[in-house]
Amino acid sequence: MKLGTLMVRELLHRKVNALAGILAMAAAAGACAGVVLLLRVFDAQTERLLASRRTASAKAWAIFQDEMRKDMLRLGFNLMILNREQNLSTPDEQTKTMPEEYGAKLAAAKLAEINHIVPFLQRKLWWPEKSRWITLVGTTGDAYIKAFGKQTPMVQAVAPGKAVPGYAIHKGLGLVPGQKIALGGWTFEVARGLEQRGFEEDEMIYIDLRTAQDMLKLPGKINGILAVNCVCVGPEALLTIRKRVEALLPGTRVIEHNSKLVTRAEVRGKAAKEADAELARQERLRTELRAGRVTAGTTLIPLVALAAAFVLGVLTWENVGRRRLEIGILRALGFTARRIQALFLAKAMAIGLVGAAAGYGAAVVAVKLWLATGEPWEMFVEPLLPALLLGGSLVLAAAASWIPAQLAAGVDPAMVLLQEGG
Amino acid sequence: MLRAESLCKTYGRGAKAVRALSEVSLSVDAGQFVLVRGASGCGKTTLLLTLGAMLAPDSGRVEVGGTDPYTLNDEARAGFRATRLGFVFQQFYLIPYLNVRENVACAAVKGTNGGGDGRVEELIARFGLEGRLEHRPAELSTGEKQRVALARALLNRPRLVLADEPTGNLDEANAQTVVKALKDYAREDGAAVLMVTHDPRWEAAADRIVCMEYGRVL
Ligand SMILES: Nc1ncnc2c1ncn2[C@@H]1O[C@H](COP(=O)(O)OP(=O)(O)OP(=O)(O)O)[C@@H](O)[C@H]1O
Ligand SMILES: [Mg+2]
Repeated sequence: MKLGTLMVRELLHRKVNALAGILAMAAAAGACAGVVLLLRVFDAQTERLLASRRTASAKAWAIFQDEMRKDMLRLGFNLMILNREQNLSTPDEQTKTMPEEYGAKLAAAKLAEINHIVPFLQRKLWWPEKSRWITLVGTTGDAYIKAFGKQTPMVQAVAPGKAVPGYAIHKGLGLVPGQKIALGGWTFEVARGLEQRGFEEDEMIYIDLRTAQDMLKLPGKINGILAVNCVCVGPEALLTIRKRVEALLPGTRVIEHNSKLVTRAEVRGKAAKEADAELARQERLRTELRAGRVTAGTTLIPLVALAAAFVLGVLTWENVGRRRLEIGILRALGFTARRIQALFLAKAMAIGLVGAAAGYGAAVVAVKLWLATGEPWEMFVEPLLPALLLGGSLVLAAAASWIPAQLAAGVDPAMVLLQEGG
Repeated sequence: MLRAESLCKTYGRGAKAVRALSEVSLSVDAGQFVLVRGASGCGKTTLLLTLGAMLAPDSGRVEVGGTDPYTLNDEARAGFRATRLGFVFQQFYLIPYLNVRENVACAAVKGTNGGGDGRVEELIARFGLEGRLEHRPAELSTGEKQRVALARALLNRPRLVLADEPTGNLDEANAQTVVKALKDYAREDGAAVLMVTHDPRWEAAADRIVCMEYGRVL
């Protein structure tokens, strides 16, 4: 007689034992399938959520671009690069300094959005010879001009020994080109007078930077750098220009000076940046949540597998004990020990297979109808997971019933028949 | 057909040792129907299991059709039981979840003429079980059960049939049927049949009677 027939007849005969085994394996397979399917649903939800966040962020950036494009047609920006510790409430008293090389360093970086670089050393001081306050500015003129030759410099260089007074000064004192003036013990020749520009500049006297450094006893130092923009870059660059310059020149702070473009970009970019931050936050959150679920799943799966193996092992063991006489009879009739072992292994594996199939089916139906009504069936019905579950259940069942099956094979028919009252 | 020489078998050890067989020698020729008699506990079942290739004797030698089954490995010995031996027990020992046909056929072995050639149907007809093919043992009378067991024992045309009190649980008529069937099998198929019984009624049918007492043949 075929082992299969014998096995099926016995399975149907001792239904409770078989059902208990099937139930245990179904619970384990269902839990495993549930973990995997729920994770799949979770991933699909994550994908949808992040996709909508990505759209929102892209939309915010589009709005930003649009708004800034209009602004950038009309406006440029000036950046003032100062020592980080400079007190901004008294910009006239710029006593904090930075190395003069910073000008060259910034120029060498050739930032696309910067057009002119003007380092300066300036100090408000008392002019004893004329009894008035002035702002002395040492300059080299433009240290860098992006489109050299095409653009006129922002600030003209002043030759050593020469001075260029602001409008208020040369008008007020009646200074004319060629005239000598004494300033703090130094003598300068007036090169020319400046046009009227505005309040601050009209009170300045421009001289050569080196001379100013000597006068103020600050060799190799400057107070700051004026950097003026070029509108040949996208608006996103405005959002990071300050950070990039600060990173390039340690110890400095970059403020927008007499212009509003960078600040406006920063304000307008806020919504887009927030959308980006929200996207990143959601991404992080979902990743964390997923990791938690994976951890829980990978803890749960071995536990339920172990529990199912234990139950199946105990059930097979109980089945062997109950069938000792039967084993003895079959052995007397000529069944080999190996066939007896195969009989019990096959039974456990059949239970494993049926249980796994039932558990998988139940998990699919439960997850789909209960928790993921919106997801398509295709997400749940695919061959890999059931194949893995069925294969795993076969291995698990064989392992769990190995020892009981070995015991069954070892049953001595003579002892059984003697004990059963031959 | 069957030869046993100086079989000894002791269960347990020391103070609990029970000498179930001591120096038992026996031979049964083909075609012979031999009875084994003796009081309860004298070692009849032990003898049957030893002759039946299931219980190795401590010493002595068994030969069935020229083969000593205890020289075979476990697997070959199982095959030997399947093809050469038939067993009938007092408690029938049918498989509870198989129907009559399956119980008869379950011992069928390839290479003997047991399976597939109408042998099952022939035996079922011989023992009057045609109407009971689909019934389970629990749905059969004791007489029917023993007839199923007989059919199963004879399926592979064994050269040696060992029956352990096969009539012990049966009424007169059924017991008669069983004894007659065993005797007929010995006569017609030329097999050796050894039947254990307490019952003196069957002595007349036997070709020879072996009496046992305390593990010895008298
Ligand atoms: N597994 C065992 N361990 C120890 N002693 C045993 C074992 N099986 C049988 N015996 C003892 O061996 C002796 C022979 O037993 P056996 O069953 O062969 O007798 P029997 O003649 O068949 O008895 P019965 O007529 O009651 O069936 C008995 O004394 C019995 O108690
Ligand atoms: Mg007995």
